[in-house]
Amino acid sequence: MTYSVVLERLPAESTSPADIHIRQRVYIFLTRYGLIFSINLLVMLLGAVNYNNSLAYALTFLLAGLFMVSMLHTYNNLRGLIIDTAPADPVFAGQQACFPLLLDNRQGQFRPAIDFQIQAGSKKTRRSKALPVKINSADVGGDTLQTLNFYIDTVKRGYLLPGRIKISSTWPIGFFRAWSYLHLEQACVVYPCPLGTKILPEQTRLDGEEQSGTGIGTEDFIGFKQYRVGDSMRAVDWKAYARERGLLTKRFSGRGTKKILIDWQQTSHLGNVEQRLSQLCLWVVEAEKQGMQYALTLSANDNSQFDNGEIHKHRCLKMLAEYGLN
Amino acid sequence: MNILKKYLLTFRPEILWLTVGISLAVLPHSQRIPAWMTITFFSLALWRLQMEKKMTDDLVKPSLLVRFSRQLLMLIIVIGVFASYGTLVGRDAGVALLILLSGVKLLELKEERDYYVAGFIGMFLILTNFFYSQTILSAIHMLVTVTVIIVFLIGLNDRRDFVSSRKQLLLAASMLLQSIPLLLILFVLFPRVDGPLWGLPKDAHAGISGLDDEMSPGQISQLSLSDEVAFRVEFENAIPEKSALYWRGPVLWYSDGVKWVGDKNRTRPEPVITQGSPVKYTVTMEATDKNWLYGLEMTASPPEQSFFSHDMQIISRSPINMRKRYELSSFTQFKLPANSTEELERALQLPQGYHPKALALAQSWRKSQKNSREIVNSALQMFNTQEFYYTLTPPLLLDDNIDQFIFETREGFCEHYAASFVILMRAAGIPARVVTGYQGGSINPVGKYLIVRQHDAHAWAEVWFQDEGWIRVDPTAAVSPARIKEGIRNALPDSIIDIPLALQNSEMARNIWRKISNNLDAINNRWNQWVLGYNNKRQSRFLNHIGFKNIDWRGMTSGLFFLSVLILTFVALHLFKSRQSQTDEARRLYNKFCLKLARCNIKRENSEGPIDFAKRAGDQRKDLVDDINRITALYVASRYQDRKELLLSLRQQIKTFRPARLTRVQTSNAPV
Repeated sequence: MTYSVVLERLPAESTSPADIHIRQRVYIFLTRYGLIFSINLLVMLLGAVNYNNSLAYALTFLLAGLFMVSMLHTYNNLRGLIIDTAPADPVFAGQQACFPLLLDNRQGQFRPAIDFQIQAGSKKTRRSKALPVKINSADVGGDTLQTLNFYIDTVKRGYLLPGRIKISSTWPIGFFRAWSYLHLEQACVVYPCPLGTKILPEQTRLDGEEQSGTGIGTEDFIGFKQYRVGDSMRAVDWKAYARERGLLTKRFSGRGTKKILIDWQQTSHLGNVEQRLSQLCLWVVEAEKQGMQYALTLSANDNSQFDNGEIHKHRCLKMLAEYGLN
Repeated sequence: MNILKKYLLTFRPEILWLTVGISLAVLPHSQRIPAWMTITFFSLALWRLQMEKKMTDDLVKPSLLVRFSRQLLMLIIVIGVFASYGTLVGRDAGVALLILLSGVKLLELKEERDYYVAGFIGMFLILTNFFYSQTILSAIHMLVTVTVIIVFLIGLNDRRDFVSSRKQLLLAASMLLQSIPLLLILFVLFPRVDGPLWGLPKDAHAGISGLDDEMSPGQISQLSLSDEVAFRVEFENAIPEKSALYWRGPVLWYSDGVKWVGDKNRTRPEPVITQGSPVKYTVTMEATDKNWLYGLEMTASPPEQSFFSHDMQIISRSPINMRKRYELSSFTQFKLPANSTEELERALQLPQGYHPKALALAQSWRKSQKNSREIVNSALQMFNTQEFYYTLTPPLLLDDNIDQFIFETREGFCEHYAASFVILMRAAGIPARVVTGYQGGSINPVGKYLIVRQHDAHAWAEVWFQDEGWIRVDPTAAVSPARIKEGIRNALPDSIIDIPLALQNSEMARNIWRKISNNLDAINNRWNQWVLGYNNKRQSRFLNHIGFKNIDWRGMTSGLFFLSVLILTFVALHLFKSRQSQTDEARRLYNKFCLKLARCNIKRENSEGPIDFAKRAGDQRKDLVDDINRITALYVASRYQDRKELLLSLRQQIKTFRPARLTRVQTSNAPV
């Protein structure tokens, strides 16, 4: 499900009723330069009154008018901007999580100098107070649709919820700052950092069934099948795709396919839970890279089937990321 | 042009705009401040630009030398200003200091704050110009400079140079336009307060030229070079003859042989005996910083806040340091009795030991002539028949100025004739006094009013006769009748007045020149009345006039608030509505096309794609099917297939697409 945040105003023509539009208030207040400017105006007014100088009055009033008009322009710079969020791709701890913000300005004029800033103190990010405050800034062209990637450093495995992002702008003349908030509801899954000293566990040969399996493996090429989501990217016949024959997955015979069980118990030599998870994570990554059939067992209830492929890898890594969080 | 453009592109745009803006604000001051200050400011500005270039070249920060020299520079500037003005406070010194400080501020632009502060100083500099000049030109100068500073602020906020300079300029101009209605509302309705809130600096009104309350040779002829307006007069009915237009100013009684001064005696004048019907008129007087007003001889009663002195000057209770408007009525036929016998005695005083030849001449008249009137006539006859000349550039009088003038040089301006005449009369035993003021004026046919300029300044005499009281005698008229009848323009060659040398030879060019300057003066007069003269009195009168009777400051404030909100609402509606795409040319053009169809009652629904819409529109208007299909195909190709080269023909097609509007009867038949 995608949902859009619209700053202050719902679009006149809802593109599709399925989309959820959330209206978000835009606030506005003086910046410190606006404050200095208004004090400046007051001094000018006193000068005009004291000297009874008509053009001094005129200049003061012109600037006062400018001050008020600039407020509308600043507000207008954010008003009506539509922001779609998409879930961030999972990352390993220590990498930067990338939250894509889709800035939909197909109905608006250019909106320069919009700042995006994570609100460090918000409730949802209290868990990750150490997050450095990031300011991203974007110039949104008129009638465009553009993506702003919001990078956040990750420290810990688990879920990263950046929480509230403050969107603000002082365009055009910096006397006012308009701002609004964007709540990123979709957390980024942060895998443990793949770290460890031990090589992959011994190949596990369990009951005979798997050994003589009819199945699919990694050794001899036996033909093609239609691509299915989750198939390993390395098995895709890219040359066929280039010839516009569609996405085909190469199939290999399973005889002699390596199967390993990656087990929590195997990391008992490491004292720290996080270190153990890191070691397991490294194994999962390694096993996937080598095209093995692997399964992850964290506890009796928390385990996975033998399998291979991106989806399986992410399932396993997610298990590691979530370990012990609930 | 290209080289200049390239050169300008080497600077960061906001720095350039800021420097240009502040320089523009300083420019009008440069004619008033000492030359070294102008040079210093512009060198600093140029240095800043040069420094900027270096910084972008090799990214060096201002060196220690620069930073140190800035402190030194500040010190030098403060000392320099003190040396030039003898003070650091007051209007002139304050402005000079601000100008130089803005130059230094340009040098130390580092953080965002410095940039804003520099911009604010620039705005302040615009304001200080109005202490000296409030012409229409300075108002235009204000608008231009403010626009440049807005562009600077926009550039400052456009941190990645995303918006082109042209668009920045457009935005700045539109913001300015949107603030002008607010300016007007605030200007009209902001409750005006009278007078200064606190003491003005001593030099607040310095440098105003005009008549003084003393007279020495050469003083009035100096004024004759000035085209500045002294006052303007609107007559209720016809303008009296020029020879009757004597605008009475300071009356001078005592001479020390060179200088004439007035009599500060505070007795009340005898009532004037008047004849005929009064001339009613309104005078708009420029600031003089002196406290007398000018009125046509002889004024019936003084305006508000003023009184008559014993010699019939109109004295205001406070100095005229702003333009002042007052209504008067005068009688051109009058009898001015003497106040007392003491007054007559004062009018006979002569400086001890001066003008022996003149005294001897006057005494010889006394002996040969029977009555006072004949003596007056012989003096005038002397000026008229002997070789006396009326000139703006009289020879320098070094010894006894009266004797030298009467018996040697015989070339003089009105003050020479008036002073000599009064001395002669007093020596002959006739009470006499010098009256200064203005004589004549030029009629502006555009606004139907009279302009009296500084070059109309004049001096004449009054003598006292037993039965008639004080009588005006203008010895200048005896020498140059044209001066009185037709005004100074005709009495003196044109070159001294206001026509450029190049235009003097052609009668037509002169006429055109006069016409243009008359029109300009009429505009200026309106400007002075309505913009510069808009004070609390005018405000309440104006508000009364447009129907808000007896509105007080509370009413004005709430009106102000209400109208401002109204205007802002309009601006907001305009801003929020104009969300049409600026960059997608194809869509913009297509919208135009849809608008044209909508005028023919074929409206595109929001959910309708261009192809569906074309189909429906074609069904409705069979006559337009071809056009609609062709344009839609072009639009689809240029927008959705990204074939930008088609835009040109799309534009052409849409431009020439003129669907005939069906009449009402037919549209009602057409399926909707």
